[in-house]
Amino acid sequence: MNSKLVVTPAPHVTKPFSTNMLMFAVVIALMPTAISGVINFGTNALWMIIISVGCSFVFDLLFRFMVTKKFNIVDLSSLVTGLMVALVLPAKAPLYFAVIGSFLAIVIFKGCFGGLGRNILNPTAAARVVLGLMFSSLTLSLFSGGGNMADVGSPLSYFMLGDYSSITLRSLFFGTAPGAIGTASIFCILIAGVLLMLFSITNFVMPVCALATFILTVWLGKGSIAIIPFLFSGGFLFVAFFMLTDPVSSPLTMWGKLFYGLIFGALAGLFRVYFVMGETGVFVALIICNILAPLLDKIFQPHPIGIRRA
Amino acid sequence: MDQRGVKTRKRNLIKKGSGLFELRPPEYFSVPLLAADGDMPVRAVNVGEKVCEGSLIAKPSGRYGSFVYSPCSGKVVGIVRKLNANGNECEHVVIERDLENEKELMSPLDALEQTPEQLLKRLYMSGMTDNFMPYEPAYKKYLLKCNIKTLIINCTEDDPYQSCDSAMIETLTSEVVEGARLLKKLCKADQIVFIFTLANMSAETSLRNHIKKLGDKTIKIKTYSNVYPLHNSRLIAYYETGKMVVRGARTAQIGVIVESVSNCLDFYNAVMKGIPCTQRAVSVTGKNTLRKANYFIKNGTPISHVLKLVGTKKEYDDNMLIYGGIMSGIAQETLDISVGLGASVIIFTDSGDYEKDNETPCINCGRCLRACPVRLNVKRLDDAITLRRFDMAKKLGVDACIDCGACSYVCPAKRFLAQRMSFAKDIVDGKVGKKPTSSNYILIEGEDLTRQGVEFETDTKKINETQSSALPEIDEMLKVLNEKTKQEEEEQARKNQEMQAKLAKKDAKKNDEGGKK
Repeated sequence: MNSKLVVTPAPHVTKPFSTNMLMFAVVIALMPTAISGVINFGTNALWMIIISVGCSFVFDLLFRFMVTKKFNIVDLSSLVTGLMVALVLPAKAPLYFAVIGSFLAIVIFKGCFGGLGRNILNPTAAARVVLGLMFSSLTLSLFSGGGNMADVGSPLSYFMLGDYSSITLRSLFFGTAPGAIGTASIFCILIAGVLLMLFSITNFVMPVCALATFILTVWLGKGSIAIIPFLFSGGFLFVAFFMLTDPVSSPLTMWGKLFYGLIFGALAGLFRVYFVMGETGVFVALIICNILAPLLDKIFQPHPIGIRRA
Repeated sequence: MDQRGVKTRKRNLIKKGSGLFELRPPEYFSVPLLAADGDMPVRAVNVGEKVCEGSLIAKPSGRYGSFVYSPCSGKVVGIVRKLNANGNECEHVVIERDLENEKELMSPLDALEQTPEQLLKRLYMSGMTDNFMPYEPAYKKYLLKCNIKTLIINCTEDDPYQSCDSAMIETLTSEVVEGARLLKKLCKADQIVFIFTLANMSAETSLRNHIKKLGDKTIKIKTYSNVYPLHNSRLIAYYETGKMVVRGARTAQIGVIVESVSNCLDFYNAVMKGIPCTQRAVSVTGKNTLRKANYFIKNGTPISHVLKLVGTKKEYDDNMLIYGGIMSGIAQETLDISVGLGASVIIFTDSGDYEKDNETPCINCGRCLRACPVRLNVKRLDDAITLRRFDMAKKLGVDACIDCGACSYVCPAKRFLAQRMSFAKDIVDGKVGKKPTSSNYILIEGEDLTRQGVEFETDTKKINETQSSALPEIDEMLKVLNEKTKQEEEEQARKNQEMQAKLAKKDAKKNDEGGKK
């Protein structure tokens, strides 16, 4: 009787949970927002999503081939990034936005830093900010000018001018008000975000802290009427639930995460209230927090117990 | 105290309440002579000598070490030097069992004789080993002259496959409790605390009922939440007192002694019946075993014999033999090893349980940080070790790692975190770099008859070659080894001479300079 004995190092079992499952869970969680975006904004939104996801997949494959000389997709992270890029773009934007955005996110802000797990900035946020800067005139016209409501970007531009009556909270909540594809429907975002937290796929500390300081800054700056319109518009909740909790660019330790959330909420509120930055303000705040993350990790090091002191 | 760790799914393949069984002893035993690092026990028998059950076959040498007793009556037929189940090389005494069943026991201690000194002597003589620190004799921690407040009996069974401790408590309740009380008398502790997890409630209730009948108020029961690393005595002491002792130190220094259930039972047997420690309760489970149960297995029983009696399914090609739990046990490369006194679980399963995937990049999720029971920054340690920055690893406190493997278990990127940590720990300790002194298998004297029973063989050709060649060419191998050691000695002497010459030159230069000045 000859039979092999397999030798592996301990632990001989691992938790049946992998990076790809995590990514897939995030994709599933983003699905309701994407579907509601397609229902509200029509076929252009659907094409944006398809092109963005497909392009990021292809860019990831090509970049990997360029670097490793092998055609292999190891993880689903490109899928998540592609979907995210489509969801933060305005609904009526031209389709080449999706191509450029996915290129920036996958190649420039992720691949060039060393691939998954090595990027310092959140690729989606960075790509969104760069796109906004590149097409500043075009984006401005898309977001704030024109008579057609669907062309006007976020209702945030009205709120920042002090006009709270032209858009109802009901339309904000169910995403019928104009805005970016995925960030419009608060209902879907809240449900998916809370589900992700319940299954402990994302951390609950960061969004909760971010919400607290954001509400505080808006209340101090604009009074209590502005809190709910500011919270429900301009993609703050989308960023807080899906992009702030991105594990790669956020701090590791619990205290680091807490302060990361607090700083993000405060910055996002400040940019909206005092600097009138509109949709881009949240992403700029996120990028600044990404840069602060390693520092927060260094400050809040865990103290191991039972170290031998020399 | 908040417990950190991972929640593992309990895989109790053994039927609950099925009790404990005696495993029929094999024809040939190969008893490992193991002791604390460096201090090997000295063999007290030679080839051809007759031994009884419970007669001494090895004595401790040096400061620490343990007595080893014969598990059966029979004849010593050979002495082998090979790897034991924990991967360390040590001498094994091969005993051929006869049917005479003679016993050589110590005299039981009366109630009057049970003074702490006498009990300590009996503990020393019984040859018990520490279940939570392999190779360590159990009496070591009682030698420290510290004020012991609590004696903790660890019944937690943190490994998903383990159920021998609850089986022991359910079937032999009074013996276990009496053993614990004797240990309490020995270390003069104020109280005994039995700790359980939520997974073994039935054992807890039976113990609780027994203690109610006894009416002993110094015995307490605590229930911990069912997270994985609970087999480490330092960690248990930390949960109990809030203080963590460093690696290598004993928990007795902070007034806590952690003992296992099987040690309680063995101590009871040693004191009340005079039986030295020659057997352990072991859970034999796994997908590919047929009669999964908790068995009393004698020290030195070959694992091939255990598997033959328990029965294995043979339809699988790739098997895994794991000695000591699925979470922190050691996967064996041959069936030519014997069950020692530190055994708790033997798992014979198909290889489907292990993760074939290669590691993927870390996504910085921080699950390892939350899982680590000693609060290490596992992610940064991983980075430091992959960059070979062992100084940084030392700064981050890698020597606090208790080798539980919770980080590897929980990692979604399937990174080899635990392996890397133990590697770095060995480097920081200066253990890496020492080459093994001899081959894996050497027959010193007599003949090794246990190897005939090996039914399974490893597929690796190399191992087969060494095994087959080892038997006829022992003298040659020993010669080669002797030559090697001679060569090494010569080299050392040469190096010493060179060093002395250099030093002499330096001195001469200094003298010259001094003269010039």
